[in-house]
Amino acid sequence: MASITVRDISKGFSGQPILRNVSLDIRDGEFLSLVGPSGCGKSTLLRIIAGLEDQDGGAIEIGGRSVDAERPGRRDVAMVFQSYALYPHLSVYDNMAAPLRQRSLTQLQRGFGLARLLPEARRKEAEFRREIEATAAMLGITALLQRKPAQLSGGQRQRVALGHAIVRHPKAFLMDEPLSNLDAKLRDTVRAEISALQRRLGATFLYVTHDQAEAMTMSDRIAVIMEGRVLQIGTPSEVYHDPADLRVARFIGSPRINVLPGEVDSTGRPTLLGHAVDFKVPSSAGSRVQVAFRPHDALICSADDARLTGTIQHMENLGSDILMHLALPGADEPIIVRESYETAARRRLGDKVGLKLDPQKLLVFDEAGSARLGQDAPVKTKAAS
Amino acid sequence: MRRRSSSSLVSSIASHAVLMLGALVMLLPFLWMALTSLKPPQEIFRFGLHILPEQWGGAENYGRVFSDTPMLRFLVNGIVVCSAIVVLQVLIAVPAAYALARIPFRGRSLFFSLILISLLVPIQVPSLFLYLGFAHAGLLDTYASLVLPFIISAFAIFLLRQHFLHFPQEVIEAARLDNFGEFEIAWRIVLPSARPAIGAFAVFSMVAHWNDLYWPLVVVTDPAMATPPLGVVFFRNQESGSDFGALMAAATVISAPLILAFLLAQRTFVRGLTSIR
Repeated sequence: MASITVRDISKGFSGQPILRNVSLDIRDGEFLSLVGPSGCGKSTLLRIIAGLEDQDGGAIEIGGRSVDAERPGRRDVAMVFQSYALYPHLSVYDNMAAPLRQRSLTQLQRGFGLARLLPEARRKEAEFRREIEATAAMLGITALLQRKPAQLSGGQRQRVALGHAIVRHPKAFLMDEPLSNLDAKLRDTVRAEISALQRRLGATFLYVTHDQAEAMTMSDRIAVIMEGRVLQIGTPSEVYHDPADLRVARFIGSPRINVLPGEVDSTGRPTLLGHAVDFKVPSSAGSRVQVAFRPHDALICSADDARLTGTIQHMENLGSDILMHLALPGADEPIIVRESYETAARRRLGDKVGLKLDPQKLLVFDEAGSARLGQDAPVKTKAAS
Repeated sequence: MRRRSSSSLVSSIASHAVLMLGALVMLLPFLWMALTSLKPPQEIFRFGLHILPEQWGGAENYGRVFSDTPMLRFLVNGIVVCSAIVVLQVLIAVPAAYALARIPFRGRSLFFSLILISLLVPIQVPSLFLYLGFAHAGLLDTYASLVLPFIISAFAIFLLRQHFLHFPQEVIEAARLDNFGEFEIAWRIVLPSARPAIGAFAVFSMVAHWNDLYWPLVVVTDPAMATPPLGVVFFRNQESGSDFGALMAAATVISAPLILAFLLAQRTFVRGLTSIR
């Protein structure tokens, strides 16, 4: 196991920048997710760490040792691909044996089927067999060892791909959207299994996904990447409750966060949709701000009790909770509020209601959305310039 | 419903009749060759059309082929030369095709265009230079002079490149992470998926070189080094071409291995050619 250090990595394809001076520290034994919308450069970063792609600038260290001059096979990291990337002509057993054989047998021993004849190779093959059988048992694929990949279901291939990565005890695991080809139900199961596996192995996992829910549920820490920059790195709850950037706040969390534009008046209080609210922000009078809050941090009350009012446009029934979509005059998009089933049962579409916000829970950003305002706003954990 | 199926039956019969007619036209020369090889000389030259032999002349004709010529030697030469050509062609084409399909390098598309262009150049164009080269090297009348001009096959490189292009990139990358070298990836990971294409190519190459008369005629004068078609030419010259029964027997003997090989490999052959997407 090993830590991974990414320093100032930049990369472009045909003049188009993909990564801009990205730096990351992945601790030994940590589960770190790289999350961001598609095309943000997260997969490219993973491929650069694996050595499948060369960076234009910057350096990669694995276990404290620079690997920039090393080819992928020498970096001792294992990768799990979105398509699983199993060798189509080899059985599951031989798929799992391939990384072991390629590492510890000589060219001669593995080249011409001599492995069975040379005593040294035979001893190693017996070792490999023990290793493969133990890994297969851990993943529950012992019964599949003699099958070819084409004879396996998607979920089984996924397990074999994990086995192929685990069996040789690499320094780190790199996973590139490994769950995106599974159906929704299976994805939830495998998600929990991969987390359990990581704890059991105590291994360093670098996990790329575009699905913020996957990143939230599985990771020790999350790095949110957009447009080739790391916007924030932190634990799932830091990224969720203390977003350093409005884009992070918008990307993390489902249902999405609500954002209202405001203007700071002479007393330091922002005006939302023309209504003054009773808290101050550290911003000069006349400047514009963006005020964001999570759907569970607002309350719906009667229209007379609140300054902000709107009409119920849509109700989304999640079973235990109902998501109320409110149209507020002057707001670009509907405001989403989470209500319990009992409270929401009284409401009807088209009702005029009031919206109460908890000042403690509001997240205030500057007009561009790239900086948090307010006394208790956290300093940006880490963000590339 | 009934009418439709009966009309489709009629059209099916009609199309099969056309196909069978075509097949018959193709097969007729071979059939005639085989039948003539079974007839005694007086029957071959008799006036009028007689399809089946009335008297059995097969034993005599085939006997003469093997007693008057070193036919076995010709066949062995043919097998040695053709196998050497096919094996060397594949050995060279696999890494070349892999590099052209999967390894980005400067001038790759130029190399590929040159290979495509060389598909258009027949052996007759460089034959004089090749002949002079082999003559100076003292390699005339050797297996080397029969094999070496053909070991780089533009067609094989092209065919395999098209197959390798469709091999999933992520599997190649997984192999790189597993510490496979590029040669090992080409031979042990990518090649197994191209087996049908290689089978098809091997049949093509075998047929072309087994039947080739031109190049052996240029570099071989010693009957001991003759390939089967050249052997038949020598045989015909000795006999002034009058003994058609024996000549046809010789022709039957040299085409039989190919027909057998094709029948055995037919399925692979068709799959290899039709699976290029």
